Amino acid sequence: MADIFGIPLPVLAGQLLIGLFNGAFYALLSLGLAIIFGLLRIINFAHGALYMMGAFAAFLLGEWFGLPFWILLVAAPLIVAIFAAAIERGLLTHLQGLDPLYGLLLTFGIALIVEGLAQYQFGVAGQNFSPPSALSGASNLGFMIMPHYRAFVIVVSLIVCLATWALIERTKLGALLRAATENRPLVEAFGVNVPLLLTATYAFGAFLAAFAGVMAAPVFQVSPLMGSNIVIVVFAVVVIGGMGSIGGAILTGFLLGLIEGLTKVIYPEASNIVVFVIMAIVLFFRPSGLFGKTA
Amino acid sequence: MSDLLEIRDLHGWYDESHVLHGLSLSVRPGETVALIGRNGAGKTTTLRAIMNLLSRREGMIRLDGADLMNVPRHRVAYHGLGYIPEERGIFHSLSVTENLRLLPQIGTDGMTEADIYRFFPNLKERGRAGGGTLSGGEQQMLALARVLRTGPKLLLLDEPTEGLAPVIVQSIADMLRKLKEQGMTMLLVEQNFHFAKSLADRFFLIENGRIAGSFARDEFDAHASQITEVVGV
Ligand SMILES: Nc1ncnc2c1ncn2[C@@H]1O[C@H](COP(=O)(O)OP(=O)(O)OP(=O)(O)O)[C@@H](O)[C@H]1O
Ligand SMILES: [Mg+2]
Repeated sequence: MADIFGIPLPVLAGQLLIGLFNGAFYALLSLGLAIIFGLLRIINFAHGALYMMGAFAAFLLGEWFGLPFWILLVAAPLIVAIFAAAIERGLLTHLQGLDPLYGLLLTFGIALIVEGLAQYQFGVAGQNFSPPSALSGASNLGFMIMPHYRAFVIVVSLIVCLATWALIERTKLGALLRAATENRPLVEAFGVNVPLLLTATYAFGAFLAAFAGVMAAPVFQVSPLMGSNIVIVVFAVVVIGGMGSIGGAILTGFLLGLIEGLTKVIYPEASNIVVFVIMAIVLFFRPSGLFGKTA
Repeated sequence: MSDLLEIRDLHGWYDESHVLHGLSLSVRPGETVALIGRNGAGKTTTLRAIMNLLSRREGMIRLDGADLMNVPRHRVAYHGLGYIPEERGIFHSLSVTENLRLLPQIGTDGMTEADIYRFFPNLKERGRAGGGTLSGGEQQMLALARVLRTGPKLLLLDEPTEGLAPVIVQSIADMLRKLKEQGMTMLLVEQNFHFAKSLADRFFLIENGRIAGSFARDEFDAHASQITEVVGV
């Protein structure tokens, strides 16, 4: 069997796949955070809770109505997006013009309430959620065993991320979003309904988070604290990538997943902290992040 | 003839700082009015007040008979306003073409893109370039062009010639003169008197957030001493 740096190829390839798989979630989550921060100037601490809500919405809709996974994958994030739109309209909109700290505190409070309610209702134990049968099983690629569901998540996440990137960088709607990110009052004075754009943007970021949550449900257990576990790493990813950049958020998400996976093979003890070590190093040399604008 | 724009006893604030102190002015249809005054007098603030860009304002602003005071910021333009801000407001994260097409249509008789490119051939050549890569003159042309595309009734121009080379000032003057011939109404803030005199029908002198005087173009020379005193040239 071929070795690379003394590591058997199947082990290395397997860990890289897991790294990419985790990176798929980092990318979807940090992408949403970056879009929300860009336009609303809110560091959305509720992002992990929205991710968790996506998983629970899928789990409950599946339990109650027996809906197939493919429908849940869209329906659950839509429900969470509507919830997020209500949060933006009802609460976040009142923070306009205030210090970003207020947004951070408010969304943190929302996360605590949502997670608290979920714990009250479901307890801390995880619920099982089965992957669709079409995606169960694995293929032997010769140099590694590839579980179908993981490959599916990586590919779908990549497609969703690239589609989001194209939406923002290549369409009229995206141009409005970019312009409003640069100079919100002016875009509003030109006749663009910026308040609506803010709500839609927050809801879209929430959709991405919940979408990630649904995809996570079959692999990680559905539990009230699943969001707060992952979101800490995601915030580190966002800091490393730099807050302002859409492409940067996607790339950094996948990259850090890979680095984490690689660390698991080379020096497993460090795999839980490698992201934070990289964050410290990046902050030292480039405080605005790898892709952030220096300003 | 009734006024297109009528401002009465306008007060305006930036947070706690009270900048406009009961300013009144009017612009008739088809007229070009220049607002002149020294740095910090409140010229930019007046235009920002019209666009509902201040944190607080009081008084009366009417456009074509409609009260603008209670119109939300994102609806103001639809009353027929085209705003060219002092800092030009070109979006750097957008290409030139994206900047040009960004603004929603507010009137029915906006310039077509073909018309715009005939006036400003540079904008076509540089279409794919980033907004931030344009020269000052090109940015000013783009700021004007994108507003003309929307079909406004009244242009608010904040120092369109500031910091531009004489040739470019000349071509902007030509452009505005052509618009004026076509019947466009303009409220112009301008420090360049030569430029203002060549274009404006009427002048308002602004001092400390109030109107200190107004006169027609042919009275400009007769008011030279007052202008010198208020504007401090
Ligand atoms: N964003 C702001 N916050 C607080 N005060 C401001 C702000 N912008 C302008 N001011 C103050 O309001 C007053 C009027 O400023 P304004 O920009 O309207 O002057 P102006 O006549 O356009 O001057 P200039 O010829 O320099 O452009 C000035 O005293 C200025 O310091
Ligand atoms: Mg000014």
